[in-house]
This record gives sequence, C-alpha cells and structure tokens, in this order.
Amino acid sequence: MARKHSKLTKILIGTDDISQFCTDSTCGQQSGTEDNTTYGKNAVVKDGTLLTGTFSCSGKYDDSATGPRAILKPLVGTTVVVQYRPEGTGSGLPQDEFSAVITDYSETAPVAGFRTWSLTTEPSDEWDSTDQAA
Amino acid sequence: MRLNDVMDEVALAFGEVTGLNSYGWPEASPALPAVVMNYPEGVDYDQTYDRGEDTITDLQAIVLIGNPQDRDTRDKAAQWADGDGPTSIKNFIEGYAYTSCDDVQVIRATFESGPVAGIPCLHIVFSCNVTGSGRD
Repeated sequence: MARKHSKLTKILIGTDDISQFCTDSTCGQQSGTEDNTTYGKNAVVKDGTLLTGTFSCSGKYDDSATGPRAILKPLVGTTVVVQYRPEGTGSGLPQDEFSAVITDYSETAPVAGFRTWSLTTEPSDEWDSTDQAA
Repeated sequence: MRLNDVMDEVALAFGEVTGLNSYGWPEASPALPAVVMNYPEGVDYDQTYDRGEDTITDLQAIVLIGNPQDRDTRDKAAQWADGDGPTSIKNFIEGYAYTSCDDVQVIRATFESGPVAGIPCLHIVFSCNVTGSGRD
C-alpha cells in the first residue's frame, strides 16, 4: 500500500486528454436510498436504490488547439465518455469510465493571475470501474 | 522548460531595448549599461496534472545603469521602469514571442545601489514569474 500523488491523475474527455490543463478534479459515485421501515421497528430501515455520480474538473486556461476552451466549450449540452484515471495510465491501474452530460463550462479571470476554467458534468447510466487493460 | 533557455530568451527580449548590453547569465564584468540575468528564487513543479506546467518564480533580470547620483541615470531608470510605453522594459519582456516557455510576467521592479567593477551603479531588479510546460 502506498500513497498516490494527485499529479498522476489522467482525465480523458471523449478521446481528448486534458490532464495537462487540470489542477483539480472530483469524481464520485453515490447511491439513492429508500425507506423500508415497517411497523414494529425501533429504527429506520433503508435500502440502496439507483446509483448516480458526480464529476467535475478545473484548471489553467490555455489557448492552444487542444486547450480546454477549444475542446470543452463546444461540448456543453452533449453527452461524452469520461475516463478518470486516478493513478495515471497503465495496465492494471484503476479507471472509472462513464457517460456524462456536460452541463457547464466556465472561465474565471482574476486580475493578478492566470485565467482558469472549470467543467461540471452529470454522469449518466452505469459506470465501468474495471482496471485498465494492457 | 529549461532554465538556461528561458534566461537566454529573456536576455534576447532586452535586445530590443536601445543602448543595453544583455547577458543571459550573471556576468561579473558587464559593459554598462547592461542587463544580466540572475538565478530565480526557485522552480515550482507540477502546477497541473501530468507534468503539464512548472513555474519559475522570481527570475531576476538586473539592469545596471550607472552612477546613481547622475541625472542621466535617473532618466534612464525612469523610462525603463515605466509600466507602459515604448521604453517600458515590462512591455518588452512580456511582449516577446517566447519559444522556451509559455509566458513571462514582470511582477516587480526594485531599485538598489552597489558597485560594479568598483564603479557606483544603480541596479533595477525586474522580478519575473515564468510559466511553461513541465516537460522538455
């Protein structure tokens, strides 16, 4: 067991690798719950229902043809495949792959610093969390 | 992004400043007036994922002018330290088309006095932050 630095993170949106423009990301899966408490119980009984997820990322703006504005802004409102690799790319390393609707692409411009961007998505349907193939 | 390439290129940007001799290293005996590049405070690695970006912090371009008590020295210092206009060193540095890095920002100019080869001299230290790829 070993700690893994966040700098190793790889993010692919569709077929585009945007990792080198990223400084932060959040990728999570959640479950809904249903209250199945019946008469005679002294505590609430819950069961899991459908899974859902969250994925967002952000980073430094870049004006290149493969930069975040050129790649991500046109995708707002579309469904894309996201590949999230927390330990980088390599055989046997973990990966979450899922479809997601791109719901927001925003840019922020602080006067004393570099322009930044952020992407918000709503993952859809089931995730494939099997490790990367060789 | 390699430090020597960046220092050479910032020195080249000074080549557009009339009357300045430029050195991409901390030359001990420059011909005045001159700019000599000094080492930065440091390099901040991994500013984005996947070796996407490093930052060189506080890279110093030191402009050596002449006797601090001369009026001509004051006038040169004023025109070069100007934040804008055709003689502004900040403009020259930030406007250069760099290939060794993505961006150079002049964040500060400070004034110091000290001898160069035994001659009293005014120094303007231009501190720069440099951003570029974390890969060669």
